[in-house]
Amino acid sequence: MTTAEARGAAAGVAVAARGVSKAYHRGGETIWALRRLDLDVPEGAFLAVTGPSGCGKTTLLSVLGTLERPTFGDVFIDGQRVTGLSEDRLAEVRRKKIGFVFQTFYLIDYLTALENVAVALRFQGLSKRAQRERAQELLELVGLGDRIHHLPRELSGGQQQRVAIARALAAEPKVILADEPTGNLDQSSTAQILKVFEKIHAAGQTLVVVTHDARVADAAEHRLRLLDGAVVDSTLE
Amino acid sequence: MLWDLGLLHVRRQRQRHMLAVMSAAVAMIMLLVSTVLSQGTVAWVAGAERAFLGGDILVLPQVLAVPGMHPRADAQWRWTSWSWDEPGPLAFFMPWIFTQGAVVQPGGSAQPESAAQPGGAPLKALEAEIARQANVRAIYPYYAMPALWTVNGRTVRVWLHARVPELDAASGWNRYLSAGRPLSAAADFTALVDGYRHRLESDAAKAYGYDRYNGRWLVAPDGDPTIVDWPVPPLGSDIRLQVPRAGTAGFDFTRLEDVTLTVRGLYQLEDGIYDWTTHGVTNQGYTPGIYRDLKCSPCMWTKEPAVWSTTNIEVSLATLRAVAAKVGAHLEPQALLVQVKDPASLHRTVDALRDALPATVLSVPEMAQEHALDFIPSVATPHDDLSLLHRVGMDPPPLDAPPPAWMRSTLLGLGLAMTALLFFANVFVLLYTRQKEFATFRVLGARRSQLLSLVAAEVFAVSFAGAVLGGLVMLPMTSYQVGTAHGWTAVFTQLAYVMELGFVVSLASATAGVLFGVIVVRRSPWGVLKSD
Repeated sequence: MTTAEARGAAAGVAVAARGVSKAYHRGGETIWALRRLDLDVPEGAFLAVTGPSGCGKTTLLSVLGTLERPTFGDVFIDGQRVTGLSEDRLAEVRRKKIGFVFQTFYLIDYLTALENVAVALRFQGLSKRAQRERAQELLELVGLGDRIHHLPRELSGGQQQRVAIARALAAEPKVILADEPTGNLDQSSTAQILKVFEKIHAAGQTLVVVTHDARVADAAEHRLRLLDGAVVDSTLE
Repeated sequence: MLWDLGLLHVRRQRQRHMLAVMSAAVAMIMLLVSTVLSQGTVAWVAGAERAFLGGDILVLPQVLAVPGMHPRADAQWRWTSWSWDEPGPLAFFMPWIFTQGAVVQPGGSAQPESAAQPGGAPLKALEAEIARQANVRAIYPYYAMPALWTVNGRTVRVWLHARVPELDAASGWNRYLSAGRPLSAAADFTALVDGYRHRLESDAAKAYGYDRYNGRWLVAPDGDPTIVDWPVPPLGSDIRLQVPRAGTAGFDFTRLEDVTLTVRGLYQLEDGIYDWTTHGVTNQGYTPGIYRDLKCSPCMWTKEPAVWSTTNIEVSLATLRAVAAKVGAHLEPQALLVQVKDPASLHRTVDALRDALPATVLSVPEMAQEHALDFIPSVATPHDDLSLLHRVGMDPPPLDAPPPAWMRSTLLGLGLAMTALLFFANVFVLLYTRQKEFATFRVLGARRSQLLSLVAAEVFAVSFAGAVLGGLVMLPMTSYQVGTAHGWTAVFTQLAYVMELGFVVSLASATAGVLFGVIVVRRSPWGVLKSD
């Protein structure tokens, strides 16, 4: 085991980045979205990543979420180094360890709220019945127990986002990665989402939220500020 | 696997999929139009259908035919349609459109070739097996030999039928061969030409303006006059038969040999109440005065209550044997006609035979039920049972207008290309409008193969629904029927054809969906989701 792996695998760390750099090539130019970034998100932490547009927040999220591979460096999820894994192994890591929440929700438009959550559970190999029961529990948890048979278009933005959070929670992931979860929402919806975040944070769920929204950042337990792909300020150890 | 989500999507978003279904239906219509127009309805699937059916049997109320001999490789048989030759199974192709086509498969049981030599063990074993059944009265061998008949420079199809004299009186089989009239002892063989009857009815003919259609009237048993363009040979004329040339061991129809026969008798009808004449040829027999002034060339007419004859040509047994000897054919039975003692228990006998024989057994009522062909009930009585066999093939082949080969292949090529284009466009639309959804599933941890199963199920469902819809619209064009007189066997339904073709094209679409899908689901889900 290399030093890096030993450190990444340290107990109590949900997500870790070691010397992560990410380069994009645009029109012959190389843009470094992340520069040798180190990060340890302890289990149970609620971390808000902030920074101006183009500072690499979203890139950080995608790299941590295994949706993009870092150009250099390593990412560890629950102590496991995921940087070198195959696409299908990465899908497995996402299925078991990571829950995603997006600014535009990305619910499946022809599935009801219940089915949207259940569909994430079927990748876990649960029985149909267990899927439905668990999905219902999760929707009740996010306060949508009375909306389970509604299609996404019949729900408000805030409600859709809460379905998305329930879906992200379905697999009991090690960490939830949220990309501007309140970016498309009004104030009251934002407040509802924050309430849900606080609730699951209180239950011990690790959360990494990329946000512009000061209220979200304020609600978080930790804050990390990025500028030009590097950490300029962090309340994490 | 996620295939059920594909189906759910189709169900939940019906309107969105309706367009795709319609497009698939149009594609199927184009496929059918181009293949039928260029290849004929039946020919190109007949082989597969035959293999699928695995041996055939036709059961009429009192008579059933059991395949006794397996014809050899299908490609050994050559058929002429629209005056081009094509190899095909031992089947009677009528591949023109808007008429009743038929595939006839004389004795095509799925026996191994070696065991199916003419007169070999299988036939005897079958005979013994059938004789063991309680309700069987008699078993008669049935002979048929296909030939092409060229007369007046045109080619028509002819089946040379070996007749079994004992069968005549009892079964109704004779009605098919000779339209009810006992055949003379001298005529043990009959060449039956597609079951056409020719007559001119005075009033009806005038009403229909017969004189504008000299010699081209065909009147069916139900009295419908039809104009035909049919070469009717005058008595005494020579006809050229092309019969399959046999090899040393059994039939070997790799070549056709010309044999010239002289027409000895034509249009058998009851003595004294019919006559016929030809333009420019000496009249034969008695010509009723009322018809004397009609000009028709050549034609025949009859007076009620004539029993309508088929346009049989009687060829003497000696002549036919000479033909067989010349081409080396062993005239061995190709089927067994089984006569039952008690028609009421026909179905039990059929069932028993079905269990005992390696062949498909169908009774006429069953066929009627299965295929919903309205003419079948009309043959379900012991006396009229075989009128079915006269009616099929009433429309003559359009011998005058064979489309040239380049036109056929161009049509087929264009049709297939446009069909493929439509189906693939469908697949493309279904896939490319859904990239976000697939990316979402990927983010949730779906494997690529799971997404492909969703795509395959959805594309298949939409294509199949569309293909069957299009196929149903085109049913009149794909009309096949059950059996003709000439070869005694039954066949397959239009619906089965549509379903099968629909299945095949849907499978092809789904495969295309998976192939395109591989490209789509390979795209980085993050890249897709970020492209908002």
